[in-house]
Amino acid sequence: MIRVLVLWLALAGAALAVQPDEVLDDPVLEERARELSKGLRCLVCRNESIDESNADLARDLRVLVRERLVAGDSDEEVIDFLVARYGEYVLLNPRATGSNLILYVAGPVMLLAALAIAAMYLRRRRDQPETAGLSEAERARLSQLLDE
Amino acid sequence: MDAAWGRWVRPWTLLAWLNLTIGIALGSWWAYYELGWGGFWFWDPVENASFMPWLIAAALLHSAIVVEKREALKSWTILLAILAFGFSLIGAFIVRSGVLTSVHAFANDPERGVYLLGITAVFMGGALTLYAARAGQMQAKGVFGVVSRESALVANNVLLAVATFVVFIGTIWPLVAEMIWDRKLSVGPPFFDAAFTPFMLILAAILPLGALLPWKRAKLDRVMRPLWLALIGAFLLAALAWVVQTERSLIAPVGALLGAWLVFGAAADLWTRTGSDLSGKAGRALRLPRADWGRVVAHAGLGVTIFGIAAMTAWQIEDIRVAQEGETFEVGGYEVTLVDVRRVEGPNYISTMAVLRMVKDGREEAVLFPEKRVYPVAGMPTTEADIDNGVFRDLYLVIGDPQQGGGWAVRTYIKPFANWIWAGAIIMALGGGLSLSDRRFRVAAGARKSPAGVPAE
Repeated sequence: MIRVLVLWLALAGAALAVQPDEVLDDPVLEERARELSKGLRCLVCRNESIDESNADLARDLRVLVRERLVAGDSDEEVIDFLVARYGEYVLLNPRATGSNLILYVAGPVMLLAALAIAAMYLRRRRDQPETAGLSEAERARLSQLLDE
Repeated sequence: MDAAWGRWVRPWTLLAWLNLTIGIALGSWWAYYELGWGGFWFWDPVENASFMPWLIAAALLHSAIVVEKREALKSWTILLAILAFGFSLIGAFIVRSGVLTSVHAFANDPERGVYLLGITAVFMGGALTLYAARAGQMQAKGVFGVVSRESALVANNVLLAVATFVVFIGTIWPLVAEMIWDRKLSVGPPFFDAAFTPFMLILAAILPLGALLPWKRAKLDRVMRPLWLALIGAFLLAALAWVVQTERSLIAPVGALLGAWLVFGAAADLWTRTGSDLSGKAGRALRLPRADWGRVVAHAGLGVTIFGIAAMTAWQIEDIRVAQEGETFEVGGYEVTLVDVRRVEGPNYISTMAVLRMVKDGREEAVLFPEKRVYPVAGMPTTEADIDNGVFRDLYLVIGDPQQGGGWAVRTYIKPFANWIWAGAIIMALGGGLSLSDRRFRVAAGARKSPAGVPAE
């Protein structure tokens, strides 16, 4: 019975994210691997990092990341290696180079612009006279009412 | 357009916003239960599509008050109303057209996408054209100083609007980069976490102050007076969070600081609005307008959510291991025993069900039954995590594959304050509901006051 079950599961072939056999013995390296994995896209998945994905490719990439780390690569070297292989599509945090700079400066620039507009608006509101007085029509109506 | 418009627009926005709040909370809760590792927010395009109108509607709720009470910010409020609706349409387009890849995408159809884009273009184009033509005719009346509630609400609007913009540009950037520069790239959680969070931190930092500022002009030291106690309490809790944690991370202490600041600040808000003498304070609190209660409750709810997110992010404990049947291992103070793994046949699936017992300090806290199911017809394996919910922590267990050397892959998560995330969202929605039931939104509410049939003089 158990054998049938094992076969079933083997056929289904689904691993759930990080597997015990992938985990490195060195907790510091493993921690770095997890951090890196969270920023790498599972290329065949809809929109998941390799850290959370069940796909076989994600598993391969997780193992690859750990192999590179064990071989002594720095975090940047691992990322460079993966980008060279799979393109920048693999990065969940896009590089701030070239046209991507727009993406990175858009938020701060927008904030500064919004603050400038808001400051101008606030100053205008503050300096406005409290009441504009009565208009011609209102004045006429008022005198008419008073005369009655 | 006048104060009455501000009053009309608020209940509609409130109703839409509170439903969206509940909807987003449910979606996030679903992900937590179903996806098998207890994440609650992924910055997925579909999630962002729901989040952007939520943020803009939150801004609109606040600016409509300025229109109603002070007849200022009129054209900006109109623009926000247009944007809130526009982002809803854009959301429908993103979700259903398949232009962006998402884990939640289903029922995609490019043809429908074109249709949806058409609707979006017509509504937005029409609304914005009208806006451009007529915005100049709206005259602001209210005059206010730089330190005033009006200014605080302007700050709220600036932060929410820019935060929405950041989410928007991050969401569509892969599309833009591919179309214009032929760069195929991804924008994911690391980007959004870094780009979005600062806005929420600033927002939470100034919120209690803004809620207490009087209209027109204010003195900061006077407004701060009832808030000092709240601020000190928040710092004490933050210090406590720093002391009890083993990590060196600032996430949880900052979350505790801002969360407590919002909750205590809301309490101070209530306290100052019920007069200075203690007798009859409770009675006066009950007679406060529902809108005041709504504000206090919703702001406190935001604090609860902020703390929940920070605590769960910083303090989650994860353990991945191979366990033999009968084996006991230790995770974050819990003794976890894999009692048994059995095969269970469901109506249309075969399940591998593990029985795990969790013991803390000699007391059994939970027995959990995580499953791994295979649906033969669909050929699809699914993981069914089993969760023991608690006020202070969730125990979240997942069973994985049998291992070659015997034993099973077992994942144990301890997720502190997980439920506070959704509880806070529900409290926010409750605040929206309270505000919605305010007397001034009821049609002809004022008429009831004057006794019928009695001449005025």
